[in-house]
Amino acid sequence: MDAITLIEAVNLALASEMARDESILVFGEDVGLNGGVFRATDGLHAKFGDDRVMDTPLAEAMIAGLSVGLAAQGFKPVPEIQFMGFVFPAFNQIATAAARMRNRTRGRLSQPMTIRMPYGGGIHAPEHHSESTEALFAHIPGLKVVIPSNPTRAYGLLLAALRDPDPVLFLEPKRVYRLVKHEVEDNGEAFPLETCFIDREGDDITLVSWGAMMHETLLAATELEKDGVTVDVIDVATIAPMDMGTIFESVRKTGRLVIVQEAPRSGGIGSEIAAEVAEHEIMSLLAPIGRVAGYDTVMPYAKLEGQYMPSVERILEEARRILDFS
Amino acid sequence: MSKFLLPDLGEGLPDAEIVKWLVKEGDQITAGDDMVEMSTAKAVVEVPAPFTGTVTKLYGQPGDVIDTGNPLIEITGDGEEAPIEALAEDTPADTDEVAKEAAIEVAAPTSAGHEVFRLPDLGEGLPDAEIVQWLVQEGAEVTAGDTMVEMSTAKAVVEVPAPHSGIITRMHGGPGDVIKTGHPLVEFATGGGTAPKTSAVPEKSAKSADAATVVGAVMVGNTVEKESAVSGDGMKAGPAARALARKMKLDLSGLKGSGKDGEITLADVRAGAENPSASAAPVAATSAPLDLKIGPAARALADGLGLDLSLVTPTGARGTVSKRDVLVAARGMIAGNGGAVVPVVAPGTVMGTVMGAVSTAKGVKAMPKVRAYASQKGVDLSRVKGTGPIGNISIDDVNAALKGDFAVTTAAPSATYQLPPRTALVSGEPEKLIGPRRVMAQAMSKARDEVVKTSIFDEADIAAWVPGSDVTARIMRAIIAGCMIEPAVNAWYNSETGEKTTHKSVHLGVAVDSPRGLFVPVIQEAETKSGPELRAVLNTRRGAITDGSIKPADMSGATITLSNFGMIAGRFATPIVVPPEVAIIGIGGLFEKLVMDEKGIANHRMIPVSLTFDHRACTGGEAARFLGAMLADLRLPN
Repeated sequence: MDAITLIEAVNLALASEMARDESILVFGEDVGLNGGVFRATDGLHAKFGDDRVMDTPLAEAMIAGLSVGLAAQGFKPVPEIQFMGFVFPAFNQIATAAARMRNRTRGRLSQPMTIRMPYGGGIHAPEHHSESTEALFAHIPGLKVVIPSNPTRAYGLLLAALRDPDPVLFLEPKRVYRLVKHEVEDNGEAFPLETCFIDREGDDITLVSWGAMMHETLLAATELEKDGVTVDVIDVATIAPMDMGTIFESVRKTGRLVIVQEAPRSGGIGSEIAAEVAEHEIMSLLAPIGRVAGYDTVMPYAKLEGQYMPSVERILEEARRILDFS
Repeated sequence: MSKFLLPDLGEGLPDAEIVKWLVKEGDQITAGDDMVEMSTAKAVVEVPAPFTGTVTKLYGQPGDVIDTGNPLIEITGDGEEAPIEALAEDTPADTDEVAKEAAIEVAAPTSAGHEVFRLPDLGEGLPDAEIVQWLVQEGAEVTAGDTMVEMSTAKAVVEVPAPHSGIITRMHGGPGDVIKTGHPLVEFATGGGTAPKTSAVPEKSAKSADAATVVGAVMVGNTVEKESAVSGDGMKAGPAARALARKMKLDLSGLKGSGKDGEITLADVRAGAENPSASAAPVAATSAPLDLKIGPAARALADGLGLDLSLVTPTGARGTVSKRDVLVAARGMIAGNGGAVVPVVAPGTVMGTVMGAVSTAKGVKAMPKVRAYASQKGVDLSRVKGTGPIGNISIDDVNAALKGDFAVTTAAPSATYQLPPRTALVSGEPEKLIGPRRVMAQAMSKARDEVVKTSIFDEADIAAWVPGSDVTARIMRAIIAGCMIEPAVNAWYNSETGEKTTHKSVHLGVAVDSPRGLFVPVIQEAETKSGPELRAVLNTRRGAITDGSIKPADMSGATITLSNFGMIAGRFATPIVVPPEVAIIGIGGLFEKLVMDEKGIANHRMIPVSLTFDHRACTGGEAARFLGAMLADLRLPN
């Protein structure tokens, strides 16, 4: 069992499932001969050939439209949108065709597709290469939105996404693509979707996050633990549809909740979690719900990126405010 | 030998990454042949050979990032050059200074073994850096990695190490000079051996051999982490297996682990779910209705009938509960052969019940869980003092109230939650404030809650004073003079009745600092007294405070107060106006100031005067007129 990075886990899951399921087709900008700008599809073209791994023109609307057509005909398209910031031409096809095909045809046609997109900041990238717009998709009924936070979950959740009968947006946290390694066994075991993962268990406060921010959240939890505070750390993983039950259960235990998201503060998944907890678990709360998020501005360039994205310090500050509240 | 520096590959990017070398050292190449694939933001670009000749050195391996303008390859040959355009077709000729310089380097190759080291981006995307100090001299021999120079960026002083071993032949600039990123910093004759880029540019050095993109910098770590099997419940199972079990509503304790060290795997959970009786019991009955296959219409009907769905036998297609099934079950129950109809309790009902039991005291700041706790314990929250950051009540506060420990109502806020302190242990014991200190705490809180305080500051020029003047007596006289001209500040304001009483007589309170706390003795009818008389009364009062014989009557009834803190330290202040008074004067320490007078620049002594007044009872104009009159009196020679 090799220790591999998150991007290698994506590659491993793709190769593994493509060997198992011939209906899977991988295509997108530079995914073929080049192997993808981040090397997610490295070696797939050589292994599975022109018919299953294809380079497309720079035309996201076409990539998504092609996926809708293929999926309706029984294929399992796995398109890559090179950066999440480029998805907007494809948004129409995803939201108005892929998301509602099953409903529109009363179940006669389904859309088994997995749209892969690297998202998020922290790599000093140019404009519109760094956003976290997961909430836009989570808001559309009919779409599943899945975000792995580490190599193990990238492998298990991508397999699950590939096997799901409906469209799944698989958002890859590019900042942690190569940050840590896990020993991942290529055993073909899919992880459950629509379920949170609990990374730490504690009694004093619940920290909830997903994707790249899990890295900072876990570091913050470690710092809090040094003070004798025990922390529940929850990786939401599937942000739509969301497993609120696990979060409720944790809040019932701790009475304190801090949500960490990289995306801008307003109208994000963090807001949704806060609203759900306020609606159903307000009687369990010992303190207001805390949020640590990006700011309601355009994602800045490299120099200010560090200020924009929630840091371990910001998470600690908010967690301590919540712990001190009552 | 010619060194080829990486040109801008057409997107104005600071660097590019080597994907694959198409040549190796010793190869013969012809100008225009592709020699390397470089990855830029979005594309892999093939870089053609600029010269015909023999490859003598390759800089970097696949995965390495080469800064634009840094060496890429060395070729020994006849110097035939390929047109620059072939390298950077998309670059307008005048875009990037660095690119231009790179082009110049290509056109005029440096001599063999001669290296120009250009200032790299010192890791913050800054355009330049300033030389702080050279740590080498021309002619000095350096080893790759040795610190050559200290450079100051916006935030830090960075030590720049030698990229090669060799002899320094030239240094560009001296301490204080600003060098632009990409411009020559030092030249040296190389003795071979490239220093790891790590030291100069830590961020980029971290890239591993397989990092693909150069849109920014993907951080690379080599830490191998493990998904730990959380064992709060003593069960060995990883987060994924636990997540699946939760989703399938399966109790882990019934499962046998087949993984390493008996860890419960995903396969174990799935097997357990398929065979519940053999290995695991499904969790709690509450979930049963949710597991039923039932359409919204049938569910709505069942809800309307108050029917417990677990009592319904599904007969629909694929085990679905139909509306008919619901009706059959309902009839069965009415007939008495299916047990009692169990009304479905709407979630709102439960919430409503609990809320009803909760303390509804208005204006009480307490989180719902605290209210529920107080209600359960029968504690009236309106009588509990909150110690939270916004005066909110914590569970600890409720517990304190339960113990009858109402000390919290007057004591300073204490630490709230039971978690261990984060900082070093504090020493000393809490001490209850008593006597004058307690009176001060209460009076100040009341004043803070009530008074709309506004302050004005000025300085009184006392250069004209006759020698030997009694400063305190003069200040008291000036306050009296101010009150005579603007009586509005010599007043009491009753906020409950909204009445203001303007006094004809000045009863001057004077704040006196004593080991027992703050005292404010009063000099009654101060306006009838001369300077020396005022001084005499004040001295009498001070003596009485010291020996404890001060009478309450001599400490009440002040109509305006003086706080002469300047005798200790401080220049201006915003002292607290204690109701019903409406103004207080703070006097800071005397100081000297250069001022322009008729003769030119002169050194004058000044008294800093601060006036704080209650804006509910006085206008800004009244306060300023009072202050003006006071200053005018202070300026007089005697």
